[in-house]
Amino acid sequence: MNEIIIETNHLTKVYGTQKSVADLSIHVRKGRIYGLLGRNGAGKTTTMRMILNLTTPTAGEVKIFGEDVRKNGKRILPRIGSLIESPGFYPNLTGTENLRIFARLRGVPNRQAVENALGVVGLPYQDKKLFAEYSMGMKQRLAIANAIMHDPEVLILDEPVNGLDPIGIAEVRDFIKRLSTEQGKTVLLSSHILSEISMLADDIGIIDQGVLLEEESLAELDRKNSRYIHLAVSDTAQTARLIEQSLGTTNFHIEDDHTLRLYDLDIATNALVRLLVENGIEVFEVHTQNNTLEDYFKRITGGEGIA
Amino acid sequence: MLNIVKCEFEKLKRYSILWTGVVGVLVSVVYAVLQIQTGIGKETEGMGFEVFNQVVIWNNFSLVFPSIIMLLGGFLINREYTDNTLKAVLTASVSFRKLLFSKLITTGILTVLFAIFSFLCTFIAAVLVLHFNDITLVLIETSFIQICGNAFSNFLAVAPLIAWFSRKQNGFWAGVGIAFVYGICGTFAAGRYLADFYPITAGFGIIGYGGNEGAEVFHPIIGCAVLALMVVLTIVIVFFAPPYDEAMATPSGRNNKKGRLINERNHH
Repeated sequence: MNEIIIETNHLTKVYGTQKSVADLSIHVRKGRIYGLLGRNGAGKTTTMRMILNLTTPTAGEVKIFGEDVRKNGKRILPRIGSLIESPGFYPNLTGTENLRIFARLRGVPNRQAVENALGVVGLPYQDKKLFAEYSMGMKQRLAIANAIMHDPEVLILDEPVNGLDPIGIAEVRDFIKRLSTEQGKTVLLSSHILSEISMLADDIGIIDQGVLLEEESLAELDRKNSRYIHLAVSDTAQTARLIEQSLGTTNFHIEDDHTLRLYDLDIATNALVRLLVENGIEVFEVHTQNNTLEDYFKRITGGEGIA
Repeated sequence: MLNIVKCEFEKLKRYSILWTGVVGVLVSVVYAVLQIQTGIGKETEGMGFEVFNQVVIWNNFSLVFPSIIMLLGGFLINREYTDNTLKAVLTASVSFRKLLFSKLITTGILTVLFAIFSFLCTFIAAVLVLHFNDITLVLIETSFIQICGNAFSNFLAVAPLIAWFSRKQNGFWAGVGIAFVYGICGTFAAGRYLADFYPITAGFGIIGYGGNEGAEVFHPIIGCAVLALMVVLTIVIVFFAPPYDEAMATPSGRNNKKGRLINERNHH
């Protein structure tokens, strides 16, 4: 299951003078759910558009099934189902009529495909309601139905739970999970909602200002970042210098003038306290604390923006 | 390609844009009836179905068909931008070029359908309103071929405009205005023995049109060459169609800093 299905190599997109995506290399493995996490405007959609051949990269390449998507898009795209940005359908047609058009464009041979896809997302078949009259949630469901209708091997979903109510979110989440676990589909999804990614993804890529900050399995991230030593001291700057010079680690984060988080758990607490006290630093509090993924993401992206 | 063209017709369901074509055709025929009834500034005697047919064709190319064809073709393409469906079509492995060609073919078919409607209106008006008694099977057949042939050559003449102005979102509205002027100018070209060379009127020689004055001689070979050039020009324009994100950029985004910034933000 380590076969790479989607791979970007140093993917870069520049609009004018602004680098929207910079040197991005991600690896989506077969049968896994890869969550691209980043705040709004981080470059997630641009990345997905380049993967789907909708946007020409300024530099770098995208390989899907081992083939360059720009050269072999015609062969690759029929094997992919996608939902990019807001759902786009013909407002004068019903959901069924819209899906029939896309089924015809894709050359879907199964006549039941439209009915099945609508059934999966809980939308009625041959309903008289026009797409223009759909709620945001219904539009999103229809877009997901369109993405899965032709039974693709890979799903690329940009913010798939956008606009859905809490029940709809849970349904779509379960559905995506089942597609991966039961049918072995490879899924690349993006979100700015950490809880969504952490509940769904097997692997996570964290993107900020177009740069991939980290690419790791969720299990590994959990293991690496669930715990840290919390230090409340009289002078964090001096503490930081001491930890760096005497203990040889930079794996810490200064919270404010008096608190510091040390992520290197190999350091013995008693030795640490002795070192600080011997150097004239008052230690008010020391304890090992469980960190949440959210804290971790905020730390590496440098602040807010991830819900 | 046939599948995509079929889809184009399905997409037109419940859209009122087709009524503009119907109204345009009716206006052309009604105006021709009024011209005949008022004698086009000359004696009404001797005017029959053949003259009426020529007046309808003259009105069709000068007033109605170029702008209607541009409106339909432009609308068919532009809605893919405005309805945000272009990305879904492209990711369904339909290339932008193939989509544009399909839209052009659909517009061509719609043009012929409107031409058939124009012929029916012409025939009905000739019988029921103008009460011509010189209508023969040969004249009916000639009228059908000339009205349809003229409309189709108008389509070929306008096709490069459709292809060009549909390269950008909402660009086709300018094209509709230009197509209208393009049609009107056909009357001047025809009046100055330039009909064979002017794309809108280049089909006259091919369809055996007698001209408004009936005195001009048209050359089908020159007309064919001009229309073939239009086809080549259309293919070249479609072949060099812009990529998705460039096509989706709005005119405001290209022309001012604020719009450009909005576009850049939307790209993220």
